[in-house]
Amino acid sequence: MENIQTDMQLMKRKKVIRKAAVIFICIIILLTFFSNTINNFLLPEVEYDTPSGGVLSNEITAEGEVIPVSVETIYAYGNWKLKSIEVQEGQEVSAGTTLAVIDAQDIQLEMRKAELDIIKLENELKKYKNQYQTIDIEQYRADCDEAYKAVQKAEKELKDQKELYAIDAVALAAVNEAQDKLEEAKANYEKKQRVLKQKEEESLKTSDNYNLDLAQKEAELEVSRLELQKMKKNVPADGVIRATTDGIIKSIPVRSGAVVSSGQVLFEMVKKESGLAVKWTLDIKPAGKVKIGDSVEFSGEGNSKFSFSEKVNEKRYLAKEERYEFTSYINPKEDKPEIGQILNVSIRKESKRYNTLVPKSSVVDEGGRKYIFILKEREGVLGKEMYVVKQEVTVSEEDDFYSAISGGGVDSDDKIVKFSTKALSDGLQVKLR
Amino acid sequence: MHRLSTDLVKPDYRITAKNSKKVTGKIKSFAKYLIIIFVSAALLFPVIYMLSNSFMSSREVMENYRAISETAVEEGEKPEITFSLIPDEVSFMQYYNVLLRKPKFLFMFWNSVIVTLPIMLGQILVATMAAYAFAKLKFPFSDKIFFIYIIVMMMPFQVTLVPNYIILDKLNLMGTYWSIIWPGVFSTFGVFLLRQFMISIPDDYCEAAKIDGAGYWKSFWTVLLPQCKGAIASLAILVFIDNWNMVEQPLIFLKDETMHPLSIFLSRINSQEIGIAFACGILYMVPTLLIFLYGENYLIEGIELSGIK
Repeated sequence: MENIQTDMQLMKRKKVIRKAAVIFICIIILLTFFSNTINNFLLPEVEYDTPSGGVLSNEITAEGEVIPVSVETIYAYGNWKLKSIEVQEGQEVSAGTTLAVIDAQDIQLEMRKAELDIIKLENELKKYKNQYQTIDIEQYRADCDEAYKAVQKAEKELKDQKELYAIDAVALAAVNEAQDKLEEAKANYEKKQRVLKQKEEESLKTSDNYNLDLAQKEAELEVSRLELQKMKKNVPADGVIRATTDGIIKSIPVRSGAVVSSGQVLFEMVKKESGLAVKWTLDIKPAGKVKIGDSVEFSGEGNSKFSFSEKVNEKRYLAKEERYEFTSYINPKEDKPEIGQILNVSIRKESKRYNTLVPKSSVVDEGGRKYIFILKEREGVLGKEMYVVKQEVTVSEEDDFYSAISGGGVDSDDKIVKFSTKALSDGLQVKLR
Repeated sequence: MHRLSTDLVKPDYRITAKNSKKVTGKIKSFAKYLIIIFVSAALLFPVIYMLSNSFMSSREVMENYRAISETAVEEGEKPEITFSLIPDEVSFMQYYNVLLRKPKFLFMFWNSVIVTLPIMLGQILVATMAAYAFAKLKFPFSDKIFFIYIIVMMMPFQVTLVPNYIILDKLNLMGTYWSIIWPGVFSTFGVFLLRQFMISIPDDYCEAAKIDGAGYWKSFWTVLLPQCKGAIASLAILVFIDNWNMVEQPLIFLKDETMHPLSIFLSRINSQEIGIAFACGILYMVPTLLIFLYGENYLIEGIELSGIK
């Protein structure tokens, strides 16, 4: 019985082992036939490039607006009502051309007001001067001297009485009386001195205040006079605002019938021979690469497509927009662009020559450090295989397509991976695409 | 008054002696088991170690055993090896890399199969017939020839290497699988093993068959062979194990590395691709293990019969 049981157990075990062996063989057969396919499916496919020497060129592009270099602005010099505006934006005018007509009564009224203000100020100044009285310090000084003399006299009197008392010529009462007189004289003198000091201080203060106020009043008067002069110079007595120079009306920010206040811009004019400029802005990063004097290429379309080169003349930072503004004065010989026209701006910067340039896509950034993957081949026991080696490098400079690298011992013969279908790691087996 | 019998006070030496024999027996048994366990552990430890390390990631294996890799030896590194039984992180990456990422491993596995299976089958065929002749047939000089067989079996491979090489070269078999298969098929060990077994089968069986009109072939095929199943199975297992691990013959007779079996590459994998060495070892061991487990009882029988291995 026991033998039968043992035999049965043995049979069962053999069955299991047989099945396991069959499964193992089947797996090995399957993997043998499909191993290459599986391997190819699993491996990342890479493309490579070899490093080369050369220069990096960065092209910075933007859009710029054509503006006139010099702009003449005509302001209002009073609270005027614009009866009519006689010109339009873009219109060419010559010196003396009527630009606008304002109410002449308004002008006269403004002028009279200004003159009246001046008169008022002059009168005020006179009154102020007349009102001012200086404190007679000499009187107080004289009083003080008198008091001092009285003290001296009292001292002498006391001395005499003391001498007389010493020889019994006078009674003690006389000496005491002289003493009292002396003390009284001293007290009076001190009082006089205090008063003198007080008056001296008062006089100084009053004088300073007077001088300051006087200066202020005189300045106010002067300003009013100058304003009146300016008004007389700039404000047309006849109520007609005229062009001061030949040019083109750039903008008219007011409209006919409007009431304008003093200082408001009425017209912006571009002087005819002032020249043109192109203004454009760039973000901080690309702006850092552009310097004054760099060559710029402009292109646009007028009657036909045109392009010309100039230099960067101005560079300033716009704090509000956090961008840089560039200006180039242009003087194209043909196909002059119009004011306000938008041009394409292109600045090409070429770097110095580098020995090792690699495609930008081959540089990988990991944790702030730059790495490249170098393709290598190894002959192993289990056959030839391609794998990648991770190498840390330093990127000196880069443009849109290439990066200049140094360090890492990269040779010109090395194959640098520029593209991979999967993420790579150091020592990973790969295959060529 | 009750008097105590002095006989009751005397100690019973027979019971004491019996007890002490029991205790001694238990101690002996305990010691025996202890030694067996210790020896078993010592013998099994390499296999268990290899199995557990095969579940380490390649990175961990490289960290622990880099010192024995070729690059480390070339660089003159001091062999500091970290022995670790339990992996830090269980990973099947080694098996994944071996089975799916290294197709050449599988090709070499089949090289081993191509070499081993024909030898096994050929030797069974040849050895059974030769053993029958030595055991049951009477022919002149049979003893002396069998004695030569034993002497040849005793000789190490290195002694017969040069004659083998010359013969194979003359036969233009060098560089082919036949240079390994033919010498393997005509190995003397199988003859010896089966002859010893066939001698134990009574001659009466053959005589009875002869009386019934059976010739040599029929006696061999229908009478003797069915009774030798166990011995044949054990021979098959021993031959498989022996030839699966064969290293010298393929190294010398096969010039083309693509024909080499896995046994040769395993040593190179251990030095060059240590990250997958343990998984390769386990996979290499699997066929032998399966065959052993399947024919374990036959193998023990065979070892008893051979008395050599």
